[in-house]
Amino acid sequence: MRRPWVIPAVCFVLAACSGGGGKDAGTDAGTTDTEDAPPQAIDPGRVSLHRLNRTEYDNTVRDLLGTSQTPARDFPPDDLVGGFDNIASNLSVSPLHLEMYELAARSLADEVLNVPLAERVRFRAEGEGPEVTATVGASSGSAWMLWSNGDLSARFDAPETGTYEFSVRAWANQAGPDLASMSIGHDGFVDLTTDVSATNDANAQSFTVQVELVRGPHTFTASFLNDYYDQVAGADRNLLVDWLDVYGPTDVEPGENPLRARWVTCDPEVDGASACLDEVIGGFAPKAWRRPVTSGELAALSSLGQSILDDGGTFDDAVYWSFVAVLVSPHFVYRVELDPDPASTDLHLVGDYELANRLSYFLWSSMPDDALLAGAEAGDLRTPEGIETQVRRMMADGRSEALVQNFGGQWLLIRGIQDVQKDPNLYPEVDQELRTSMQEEMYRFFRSFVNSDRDLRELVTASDGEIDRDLAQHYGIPFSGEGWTPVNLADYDRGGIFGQAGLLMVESYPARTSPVIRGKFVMGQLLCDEPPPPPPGVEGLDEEIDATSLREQLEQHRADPVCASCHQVMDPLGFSLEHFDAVGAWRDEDRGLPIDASAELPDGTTFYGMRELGAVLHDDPAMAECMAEKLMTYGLGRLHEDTDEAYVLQMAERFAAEGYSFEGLALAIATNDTFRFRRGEP
Amino acid sequence: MSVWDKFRTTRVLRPGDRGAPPIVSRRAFLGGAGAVVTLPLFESLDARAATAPRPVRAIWWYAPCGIEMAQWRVPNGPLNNLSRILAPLEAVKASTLVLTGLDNTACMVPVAGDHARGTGSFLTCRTVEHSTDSIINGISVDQVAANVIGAQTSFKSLELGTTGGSSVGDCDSGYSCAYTRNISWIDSNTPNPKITDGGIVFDRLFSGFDQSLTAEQLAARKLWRKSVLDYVLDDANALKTRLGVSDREKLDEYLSGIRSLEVRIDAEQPGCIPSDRPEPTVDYGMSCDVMSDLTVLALQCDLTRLVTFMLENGGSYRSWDFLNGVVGAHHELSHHQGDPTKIEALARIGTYQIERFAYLAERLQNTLEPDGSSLLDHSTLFFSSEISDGDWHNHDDLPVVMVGGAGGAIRTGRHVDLGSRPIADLYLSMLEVVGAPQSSFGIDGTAAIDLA
Repeated sequence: MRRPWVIPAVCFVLAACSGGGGKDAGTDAGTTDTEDAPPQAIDPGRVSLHRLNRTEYDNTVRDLLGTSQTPARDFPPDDLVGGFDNIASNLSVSPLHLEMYELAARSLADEVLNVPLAERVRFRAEGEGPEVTATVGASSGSAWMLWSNGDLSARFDAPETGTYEFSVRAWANQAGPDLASMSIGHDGFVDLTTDVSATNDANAQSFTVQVELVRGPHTFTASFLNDYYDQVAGADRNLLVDWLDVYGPTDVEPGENPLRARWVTCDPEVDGASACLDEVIGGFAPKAWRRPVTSGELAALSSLGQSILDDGGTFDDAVYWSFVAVLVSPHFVYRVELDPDPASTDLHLVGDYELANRLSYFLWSSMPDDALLAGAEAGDLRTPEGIETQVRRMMADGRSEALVQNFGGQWLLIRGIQDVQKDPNLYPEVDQELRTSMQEEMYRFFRSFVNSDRDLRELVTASDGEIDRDLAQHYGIPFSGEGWTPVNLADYDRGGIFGQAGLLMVESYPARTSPVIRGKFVMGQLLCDEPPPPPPGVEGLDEEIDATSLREQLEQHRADPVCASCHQVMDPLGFSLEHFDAVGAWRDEDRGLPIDASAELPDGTTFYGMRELGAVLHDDPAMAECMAEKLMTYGLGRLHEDTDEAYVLQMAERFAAEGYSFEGLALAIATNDTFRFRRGEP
Repeated sequence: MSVWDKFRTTRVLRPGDRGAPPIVSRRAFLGGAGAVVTLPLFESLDARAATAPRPVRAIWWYAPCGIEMAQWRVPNGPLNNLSRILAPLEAVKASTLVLTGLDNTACMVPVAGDHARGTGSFLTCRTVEHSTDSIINGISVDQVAANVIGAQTSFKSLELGTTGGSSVGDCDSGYSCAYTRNISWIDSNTPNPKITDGGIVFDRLFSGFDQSLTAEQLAARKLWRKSVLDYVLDDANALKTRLGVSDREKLDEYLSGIRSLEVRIDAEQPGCIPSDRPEPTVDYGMSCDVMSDLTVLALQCDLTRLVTFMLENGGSYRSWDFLNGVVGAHHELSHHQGDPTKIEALARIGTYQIERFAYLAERLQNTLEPDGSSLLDHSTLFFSSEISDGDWHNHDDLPVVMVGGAGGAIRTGRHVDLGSRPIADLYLSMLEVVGAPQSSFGIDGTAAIDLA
């Protein structure tokens, strides 16, 4: 039974009276928070056909193929809803997606099947030879002399994509105060700029850089950068280039492709092309589709491959296009779950392999591994106990880092630290490095919960943390360590997410703080009591900056009953964080007025500052319930519905019983009926 | 590693490309607005181009948060002195048409969320569903055109923008982010996503056609690509019979994507020899202009005839801090409440946006068609916002400016006050000039406006 809110959920009632909430208002937890009997868990809801989002796609091809390609980075961004990018209802498919899927599949199939050359190649263009072109100079013995600033270039066809060594041997006629300066580069980019101190052929220097080349033609260039000529003194500086040399690819073993060996397990010459093709596809399709493949499906794939052989295609052509077909298929790009009768609302257990996929995309944002598929095959996932065994195993696996990056990264807005706009004229200190440090601080902190039994409610009350030099400077904390160093943040008026600059910065405008936005974060993300949008006509009127303090301005919200219904909760929550400016640095005053971080909620609860805000939230059962709701939303990939309330309460109960550990919460969700059951739709 | 890395081998270096060291910052990768550019076309295309009448192209530009209207307006009649915000169009003034009195009534709904609603219906003129997860809109004007003329080019349309949007949080007032981030819509449920990375746009336009393959190899590749699509189409159709109602609708998106790809593969033909792939830049103006350069390139090579561009997303919170004296987020400033500082900031933002628009117009004016005429003569460019005044949030009297003669179909160099007309009627006019006339559009488009 839910205890009364410590932080009152009064917002919806009044907002509804004002008529401004729209149809989304009043549908959330607040209205069910009564002393009536708890709601009955009857409807597990419905997750629609779930397209892999960008993260899931890249992780899946990584785990499936062992590729280092991340093709989905080029896909269109996934829609965000409820704060998450993995909500099935909003993962639409456009023609651009299909175009990208086909390109990605071809690129991946190419990588898997391509066999590197039997030998590495070396291409050497002599400076005086016919392969080079120059903008200036003339051949000089065994070299090319650049007598004024200019380039010497050669073309090279890279036989494979990979890493190559590009070397230049050179010396110089030295003159003037400086040594000769040369840059070497490829395709218009400078790879190295260096002094050349050698003075003749005998002591000439070789300079080597590693370059990444895609298969095809490339231009390599050595350039003389600092010509010097003093006619009177007869001093003339020239650069002499003996040769340009390209060697590689050095990062692949000739004649081997470990990715290919995993799938092409037979020899078409020995076993026959058709039979070998069937064997390869029969091995690949079930892995890619993350379930057993029916004989009918195999027959269809087989006939596609066979038609390519019949058209005069090689065995590799047939395998290549079959792989492309498997990877473009809806069974790859979607997580398909089926109902025995799609029109019936009768509950049924989610299928064995479908549940394996639910678990792996929940905990790993990726495909199931062999152990999980074996569990599915054995029917182990039909019981909560069987699921628990897998969840505990999977949480201990490194792939559970996906929860830190994808759940934590979105729930606590950590991803937003990179792209939130800040006015560089006001906050020049917020550069790329500081943003990265802010992000890393939050990831490290959240990881300490995902990887241990730690009470998740300490997110808002913790004293411990790790900072680096950039953050120490930003926070005004003495720092003598190296890299990331543990520190007791309570000594410095920080600790927990409310003291972390990244969150404070994301929940601010480019040029100032916003108690409203910060308060809304607390209500929406931590209490699942998201305020409705303001009524039409007042949007944007919320915060006015003039001579008076922001607090005084915001007090206006209380004067208007329509605004007050939400702002009397939202604003005080935000006020308590006012000691932190728009980039999360400490401040004692704002526009010349002292900061007042005191807060009073409508029920009379008072607190001051970040620590006391954390303490109030920590003791509010609504926060633990909200954590369950958020992780459930993410874990199922569907938005929270009214009918989920009973499930959330069950999860919160288990969460508490597990000592509020993250793993306990993950278990509470994965073993819950809403995760294990499905229904059709009429 | 990018999707295209394996296909990039086909890049044709420009004659004289020596890979010369330091490439110092160039205005834009094709050489800036002033340069007259002609690209070498493949001979076959050249021959085709010289005789055929030039097609009309249409480009729709979107900019968020309304316009400071007092500094936008110009007197009725011929365009003489341009207003402050429209002044950057001076060089193309003779080709410019300012329109007043256009309304998007579909977004006039008395609940919060004008930015999401206005952006979602910007080119659809349909009232979007007020929901975060049930997305219902309508087909956008560019896609209506694409369905008629799109198969004549390698790409039925291009969707471009400057930003994908925030990676966290929600969008506007209980509306899906799909509405604030997309102006092009394939159908009522499917947004047509934009690409915001110039390098990816370039790869898409120029990496597909492998000139190192023989005709036989190309034919085989095309055949096998289509065999794969036939296979997955059967696969998806078989799956569809086993799904519930809403999942069938979702799979329809996939099926129509496959059909589009089939059309694309058939339409794919050599375009023209591309220039360098644009490099990432942190310069905001340059990142906009790169998209304009790519637009020009795509039109000039006749890779597409329809382009949409979002200069930021609906209700943008972008900080325009690189503009002198502009402090704060765009949306925050747009609720100016009469504050002169904010109004001044909005005027500067609007002027800057029109500068970027003018860059595109000038590029088109300075780009010659094979018959020697200007690309701008055969184009129509449209610029507007999801609302009119940022503080009022009104969807009537939208700021609309058009550039380009559309092959003589649009009489320019003037300002016309239409009183109060549905903007859907203007879209009917645009559909007409690109060769895709319709009898109605959106909820209230019934008759094309005579622009001649």
